[in-house]
Amino acid sequence: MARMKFLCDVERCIDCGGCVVACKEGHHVPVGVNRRRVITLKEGEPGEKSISVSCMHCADAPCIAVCPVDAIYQRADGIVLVSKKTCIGCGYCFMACPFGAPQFPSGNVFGRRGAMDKCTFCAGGPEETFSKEEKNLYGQNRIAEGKPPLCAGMCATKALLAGDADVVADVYRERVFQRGSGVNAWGWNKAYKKK
Amino acid sequence: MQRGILSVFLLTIILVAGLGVEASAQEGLAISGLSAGSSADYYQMMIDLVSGHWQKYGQLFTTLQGQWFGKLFLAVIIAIPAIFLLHYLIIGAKHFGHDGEQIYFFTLLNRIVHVFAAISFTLLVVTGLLTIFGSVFGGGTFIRTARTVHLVSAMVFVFPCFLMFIMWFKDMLPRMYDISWMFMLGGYLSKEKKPVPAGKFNGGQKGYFWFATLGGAVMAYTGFIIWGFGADLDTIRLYTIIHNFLGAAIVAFYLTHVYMSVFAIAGSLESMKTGYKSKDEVDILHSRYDYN
Amino acid sequence: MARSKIRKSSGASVVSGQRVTLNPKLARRSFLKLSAATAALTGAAMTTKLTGKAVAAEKKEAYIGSKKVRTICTYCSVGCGIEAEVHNGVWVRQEIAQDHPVSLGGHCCKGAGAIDMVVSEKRLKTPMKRVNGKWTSISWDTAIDEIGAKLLDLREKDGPDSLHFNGSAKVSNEMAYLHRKFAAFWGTNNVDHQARICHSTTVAGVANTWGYGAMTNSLNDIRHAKSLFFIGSNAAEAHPVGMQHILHAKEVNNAPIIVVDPRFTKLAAKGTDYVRIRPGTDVSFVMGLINAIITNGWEDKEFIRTRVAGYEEMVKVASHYTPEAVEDVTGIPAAEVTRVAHIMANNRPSTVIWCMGGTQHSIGSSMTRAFCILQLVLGNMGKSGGGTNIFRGHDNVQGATDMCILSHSLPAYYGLSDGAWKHWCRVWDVDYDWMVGRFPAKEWMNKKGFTLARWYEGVLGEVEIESPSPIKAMIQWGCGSNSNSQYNRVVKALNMLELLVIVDPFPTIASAVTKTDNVYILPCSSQYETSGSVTSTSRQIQWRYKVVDPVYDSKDDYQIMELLVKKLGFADKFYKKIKQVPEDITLELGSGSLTIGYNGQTPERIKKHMDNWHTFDIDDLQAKGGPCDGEYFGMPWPCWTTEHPGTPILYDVSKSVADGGLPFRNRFGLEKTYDASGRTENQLAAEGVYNPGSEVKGGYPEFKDVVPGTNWKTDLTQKTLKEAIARGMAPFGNARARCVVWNFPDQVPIHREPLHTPRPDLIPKYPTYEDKPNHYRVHTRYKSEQSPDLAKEYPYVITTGRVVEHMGGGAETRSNKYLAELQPEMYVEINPRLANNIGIRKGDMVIIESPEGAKIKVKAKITKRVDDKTIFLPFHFAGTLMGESYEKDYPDGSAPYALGDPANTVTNYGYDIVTQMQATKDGLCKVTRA
Repeated sequence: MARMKFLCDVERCIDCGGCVVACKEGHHVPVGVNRRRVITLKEGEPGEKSISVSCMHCADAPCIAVCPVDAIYQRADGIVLVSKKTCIGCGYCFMACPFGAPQFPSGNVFGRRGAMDKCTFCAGGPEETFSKEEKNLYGQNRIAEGKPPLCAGMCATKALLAGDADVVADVYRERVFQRGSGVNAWGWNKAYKKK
Repeated sequence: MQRGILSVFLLTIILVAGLGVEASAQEGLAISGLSAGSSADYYQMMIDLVSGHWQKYGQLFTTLQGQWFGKLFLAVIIAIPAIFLLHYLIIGAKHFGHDGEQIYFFTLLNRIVHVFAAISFTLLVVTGLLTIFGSVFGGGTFIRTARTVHLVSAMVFVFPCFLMFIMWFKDMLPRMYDISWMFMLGGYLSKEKKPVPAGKFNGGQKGYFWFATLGGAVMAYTGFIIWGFGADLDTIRLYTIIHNFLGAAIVAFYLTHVYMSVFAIAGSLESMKTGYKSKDEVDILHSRYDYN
Repeated sequence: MARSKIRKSSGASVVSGQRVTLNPKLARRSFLKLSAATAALTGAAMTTKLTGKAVAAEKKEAYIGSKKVRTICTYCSVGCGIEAEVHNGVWVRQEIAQDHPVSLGGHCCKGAGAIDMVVSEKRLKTPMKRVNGKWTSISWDTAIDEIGAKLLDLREKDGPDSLHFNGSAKVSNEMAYLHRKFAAFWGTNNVDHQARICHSTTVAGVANTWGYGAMTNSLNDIRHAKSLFFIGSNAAEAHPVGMQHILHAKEVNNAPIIVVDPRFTKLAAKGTDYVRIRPGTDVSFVMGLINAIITNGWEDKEFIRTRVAGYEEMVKVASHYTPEAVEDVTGIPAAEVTRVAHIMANNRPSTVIWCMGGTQHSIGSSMTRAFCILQLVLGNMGKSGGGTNIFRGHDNVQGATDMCILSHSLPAYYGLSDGAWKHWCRVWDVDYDWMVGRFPAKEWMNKKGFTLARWYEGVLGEVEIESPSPIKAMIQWGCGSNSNSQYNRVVKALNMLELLVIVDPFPTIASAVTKTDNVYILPCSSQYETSGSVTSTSRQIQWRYKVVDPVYDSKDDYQIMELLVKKLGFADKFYKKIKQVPEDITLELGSGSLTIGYNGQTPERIKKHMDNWHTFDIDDLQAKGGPCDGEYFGMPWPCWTTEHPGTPILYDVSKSVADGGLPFRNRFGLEKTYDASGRTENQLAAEGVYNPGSEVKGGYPEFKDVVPGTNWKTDLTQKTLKEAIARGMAPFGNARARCVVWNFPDQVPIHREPLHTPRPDLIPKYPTYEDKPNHYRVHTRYKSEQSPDLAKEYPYVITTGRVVEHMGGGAETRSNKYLAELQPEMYVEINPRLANNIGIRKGDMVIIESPEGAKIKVKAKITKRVDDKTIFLPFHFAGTLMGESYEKDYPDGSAPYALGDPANTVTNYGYDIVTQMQATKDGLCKVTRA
């Protein structure tokens, strides 16, 4: 059975934000809610690396474990989705998530958190597929259309891979193999090559 | 279960970056090509960066919330009423004559404050429990409303809580005889009407008082922070853990208090309405109280 | 335990209006198919064999009956494909354009939000005019009537040169061509556009080296490079989608990526070697590399013998740039110079890539030539994987440059000579004498006009100008004004104009900084609401199909131009050969642009390429089978005939001319006696250098008199071109590339200190030029501006650059809520050491002051990207100044989401000696805590 996964190739991510805006624009995500974001480490220094992060659709997802109302569920293909109608905005999933993926647009009562919003792997939500309701609550349902997620599809350098775990692994494996013996590793030439 | 926890934690690596490890393991030569740090390393660094020290409380929180809090509260709300039911059936309520001399026990202010505290506190307990068992009710608008009521009740409760603290502070200070009260469990295990060592408030009431006021303050503060995500993530996790444990303890006390006042001592509730307790009752249950 | 909570998804979907519940087994099968497809898509960049369609069979539609329109992103020159899904006349979403052979579906944050150009709430909705200081909506008729009347009135009183026209690199080729044509018909050379401050020094320097001033290879061709040398380019932010080809070379060819930059950029993070250079010393470093290559014997001797001219004279100059001398000037360790030269020599072909860091200097035209000479010495020209890959900026800046919205040339680089005017009058089918009559006097036809870099001097009258009239009116068409250095002076000039017309989809900052009446805003549609061809940085011409009709009360470029021209009374002549817009314009501009071979790309051919993206091989961009079989994607110019496949790599003698090969262009005579050495050299290529199938087996001059009285450039029948191709030869001859450009002030590139230098001790050894009067009509200071004392008071070097989220002046991107969210505020990058020394902490507000006395107040970002002598500013912001906001001065509700102090307020005085490029990368400044 296909198992959907994301993989961000840190050697390729250039922090262009394409995935972030592709997601926001594609699903009309409100400003302030980031289903996906790019994190840069060691900015401006040798070894600077960027990673695009969102919900990873974990295997034994901690968010599902802690949700007090069982609003979060996992599909058979591994995609973790939330039912916004069930969610009470308690924020426990955010506390459990190692990736900081769950997002909470502000609700309207006493600064209450609205229903949790997160990456859907472009698979919509529990509402009827392609219904207006689904689109309003979760954005597009591209998986049902047979289309890949926007973020990975629009990744400028193909750093972000999405799809069946086995195939993604194969692509990545091929890259690692092609990268060869490390001659192109940052600073190696300078540090290790004799004059 | 330990294995489950471990896997929750490890999946961060296994899930994505693990692919790289897998790839490298299969192609021994290529592994050295993964030059400046593997994806796994970077994900680990990033996890630290984004969600704080996941290893500190994140795992603990996930385990507790995922597996224990629900059970804990379930145990509290089943076990305590069950014990009291047994008590009621076996030992039964204490009856005191209400026709005799009446002692003015609670002032009007005392009673008003108590009513406010009682209502808001009850709401807090009920809505808190609703949230914890939200899945039973299917979440959604009902539980969302419960959470809002929880917040409003908390804001209301803060005032009577504070006033109670001030007005009963002196009476609630622990005394030596409270210890003996504790040892005899307030005499509730006996059907005999023997004077028990207690002042205006007995040891149980005092314990409840301190839990409800000081504990309530802690609950209010941690709740406030959790509500607004007003601290770093790891602190919030810690606060949530505290909020839940303390909450369970307070619910236990709350149930006891309700049982005592409504069932265990017949007519006890009256005193909070009228302010008067029968002398009979006071002499037995608050034998050290000097009402003159 | 979590697993026990797994629940089935709804599994319900709508198929043609009918609700069908998929059973889990079926759903599983479709997921399998899909997952294979998604991975194929994501892997496409690395493995060319996997270019299969992502969309599996059995798909369902979210928008039933929608259509897909292919168009081209309007942000940068990479020219990414966009698939717009249109439903009931509304652009509903962007689909992944994975078939596009350059972008392969990729987008940066700007392109991923391209739809916002149309749907943004900040779009201008009606024509507007400022009345008594307040923006007032007016009708199109009123606007055009009033603007036209005022222009005609000024023409009557002050002559046509009282108007300055700033055109745009954001419009189609057709519109860019009309911009230039409009100025010609109006009777002025006061016409310019962003290329002046972008790659003008490149065009001048590179064209003078070997014939054409454009990128020689293509983005995809970088996949074949064995090493990459970036100097003054931050492709990771400025050309993000091009990075996939760059990273391909790095990963698959093990190609070293050498990044030379004053900043440790995001590109440097992806590089293998980073060289920190002092701003403005590129010539010194590159001549040092050339010297190191020659002294070590790493030069390509055969290439130099057969295809390079002026080599000996150049070597003599280069010999002064010893590693030690270079270290003193550039701050790069001597050993590093030799090491970098060695890497490039060992990993051939290497490609040289530069952007604004190599052009925006007072010696920019020397820098660009030094880069070219480096490639000549290494023998990397005309080779796949080599070349000078000059990344352009705006989406159509290559095309707008080719159409010459420039004050020194008519379209296609014909210049301003009588011959050029006569050529274009023939193309336009207008009487040459009528054209002469449009100008104040015939001499002004041949003189260069004001440029975009310094038009405001023509208004201010503070320095000596040589023009028949000061500038009193300006049309600012698709051109933000905050890209100009010394921006405070631009603002002053804008407020002195008698008429300012702003044509833009979003209000540019010019609408907010002006306080005067007689400012008009004409709401122009975005490029997605019109059609036309665009030229990418790789010289590929792509067709931008119209996605939707112009929104609100906006009109597209062509409509606005037509209204204006009609009002000004020369529509009959202007539109003589144009019936169908824009296709007839494409044909007209092609028929005249013979120098650069724009004649082979007919609208039909360009559209055919758009419709068959998937047939082009991403490795060499040639269609393998299909309707475009054998043609190169976008028919990179020159495309000599309607059968020609385009020229994917310039000066490549391994292919026949008919198949896209070319030698170096014969543009500078047949022989030359050098001033420096007295040596006379034949400028034609040596024996044995020719394209396969050439009749002449060596150098030959350009073709002329095939049709008597004409040459290959002016023969409108195109017989000359066809004959040359038939004989296997290049119409422009077969010559050598030159190292000595005798028509430039520095015949061989030499280092000269920036006008405002932090190293006054180097001024005696590397002084700047003498002052230059009448430099594009404006007196320009060099020597009198270069003061050794300046660095005492203004000790830090100021340099500017791009961020990936914004583009140019930022009117478009700062009006996109998502981009504004990602990069919301103006900042200055300061090294931690410098920050500590001057008492600045993260997030503090700091004041930057230029030697001209201008100031901005911006937030400090403490980072090691810059060194402790340099500060960096992104140049996209505008809308505030020193704490004052102009938000209220924009038309109601149209102020961009993100505002900030314009960096160019504090960029310094300084202009290139040849092209008047502004020097924004190497000025000085003072930094204090606010």
